[in-house]
Amino acid sequence: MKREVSKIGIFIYDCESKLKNVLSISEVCSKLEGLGFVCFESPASHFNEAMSDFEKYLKDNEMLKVVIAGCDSRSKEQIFKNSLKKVGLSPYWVNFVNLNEAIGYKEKKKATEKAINLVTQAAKWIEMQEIIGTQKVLLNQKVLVLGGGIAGIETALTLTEGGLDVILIEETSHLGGGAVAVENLKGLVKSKIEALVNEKKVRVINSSHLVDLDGHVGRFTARVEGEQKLIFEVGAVVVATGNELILPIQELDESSGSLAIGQKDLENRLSLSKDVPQRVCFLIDLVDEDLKISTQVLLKQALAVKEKFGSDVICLCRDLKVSFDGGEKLYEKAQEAGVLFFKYTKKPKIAFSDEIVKTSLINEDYPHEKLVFESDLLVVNEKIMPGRGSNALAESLSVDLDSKGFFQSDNVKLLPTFSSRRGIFFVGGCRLPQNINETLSEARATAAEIFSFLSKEEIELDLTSAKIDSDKCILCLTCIRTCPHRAIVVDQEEETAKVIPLACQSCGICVSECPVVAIELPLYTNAQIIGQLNDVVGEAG
Amino acid sequence: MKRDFEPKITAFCCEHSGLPSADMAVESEFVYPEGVNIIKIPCSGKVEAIHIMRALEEGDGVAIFACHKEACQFLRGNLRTEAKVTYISKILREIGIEKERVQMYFLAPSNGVKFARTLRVFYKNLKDLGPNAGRKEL
Repeated sequence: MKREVSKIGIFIYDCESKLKNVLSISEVCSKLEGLGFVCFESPASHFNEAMSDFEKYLKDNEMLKVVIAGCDSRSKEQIFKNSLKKVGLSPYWVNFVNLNEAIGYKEKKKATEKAINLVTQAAKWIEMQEIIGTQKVLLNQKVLVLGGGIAGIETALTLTEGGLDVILIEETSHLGGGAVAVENLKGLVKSKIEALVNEKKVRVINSSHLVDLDGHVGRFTARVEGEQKLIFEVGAVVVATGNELILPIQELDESSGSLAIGQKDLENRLSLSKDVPQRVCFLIDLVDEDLKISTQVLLKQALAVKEKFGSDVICLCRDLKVSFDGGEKLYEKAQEAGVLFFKYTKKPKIAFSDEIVKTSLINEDYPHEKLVFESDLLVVNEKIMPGRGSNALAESLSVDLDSKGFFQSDNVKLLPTFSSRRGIFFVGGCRLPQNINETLSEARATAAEIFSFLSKEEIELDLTSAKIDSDKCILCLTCIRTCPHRAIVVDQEEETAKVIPLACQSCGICVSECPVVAIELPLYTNAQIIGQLNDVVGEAG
Repeated sequence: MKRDFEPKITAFCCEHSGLPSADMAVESEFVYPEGVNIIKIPCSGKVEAIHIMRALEEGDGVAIFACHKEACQFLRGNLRTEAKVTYISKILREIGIEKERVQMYFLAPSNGVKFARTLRVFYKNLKDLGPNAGRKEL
């Protein structure tokens, strides 16, 4: 069978003459032309200069598919894709080769052979690449926000700034969430609530909760129950249910009374300028591993108590985590101001007796010695727990919870507020214990993310998602179970599994799990991958 | 005889960790053995058993580079592949091919050093093992 290879153009870029020293480009080119491809050795040393030449060449020679070989071509993918679009070619009909791989070879002959191999394989790959179709998809431009805390309110407000309609559902009878109980946040929360209530694009529904969520991104159907049963059609869902603070004092001792308080209570006392006793002992890391927030609060409060009231301040801690902004500096400042820090490895003993708290721990430097601190007030850090309804909510949204019971983000570093399902987002404390600034910026960022794909009513989607061959499908449901994004559903009429292109992220996990090989990923077909395994030069020789 | 033998390795690289690491390795000139054929895949979970077996027909060893556990872009793709590799090692034992020829490595996206080092170690191990008995005769 004659292969149609003459429409495949191969562009070789010798960036900064790096390649010339190790391999012979003309030999690579002649070999490839021998195989029937069209080879083009670019005189330009840099990609950006070559773009207009590149476009002109494509047009003049009526190229269809392109292979780009160069030194750092993978990082320039987008530039080439854009210029292919400009010429009117499919941006998926391009493949990139990193010829740096060949540079590691010591002999010139071997390096050239390797380069030929690399380029030919890429050309073979792109030769098998079929047309990627497009599909028009209608999007619902409403957004459902769950939770009326500061995170939910901020998200809703930012979304309305972008012109989207928002439905906000709050489980309790009032807005504000946990931030209302903190004195110095009250003003901020109040102004935000006022702005929200006055906003016409937001519909606030109190004392209700989400029961069930059907559908996929752009087209969710949410059932909400409360005073009345409601059904909404929304395009995206934001979960901002927050977390809960639990004082571990009951765990310490029941006779503590008002001698032991949480960090939040002390914060309120400080902002109301109430008196703080002369001797204060901070004790953190009794319960929680996630220390960043507690450390930040501890250092700030210890400094404030020391500076405002001149109290003796002692901090007992297992560890301090100063990874927040200015943490190390704050710690040094606290030490200079005279705050004493003691490290413990064994849990300190705490005894309460007439207005005095006695905390005793083993001296780390002299293990036979015991340190006893008397203080008038003991401040402990609160345990930060996931919200009460997290489990049920995660089940009805079919998203995952992490080991502690918080909502699991899709990728902690790259996509922190994304869930594993496209169109569902986690904002604020329900994902990770965090402070108010982080929550606010996260809320705004998420709103921008939602706006970027819900801004149009209709979008044209490239069908790079997995495809299921309905004739082969035996409806074993393996793909539905293994899909990490819940992008596959059962088509009852045709009795086959069906991929939802909008929800699919083209990972190919279903492809490799399907027992009857009914699924194919258009950009990484089986034939393409197996075609890569043969050594081209070996074949020819 | 063993000294002349040059193992051929097929490296399946996840686009999210293995491939950036490979790019970094070549850019920073961390030397890894010749005769490594890098194949890009969207997620290590995309590797099928048949791909690994076919790669063993063509070469002497297969290395799969995946993201760290619990850091998979697609949640559990790498864990699925790990199970697949265990399954394949059983098949290999039955047909009398050393299971050490198929290895899975977990690495971060910017770990060119580890990429090169693991391949060097793998190459040396393959050299000690000798040519793959199941490889197609050319």
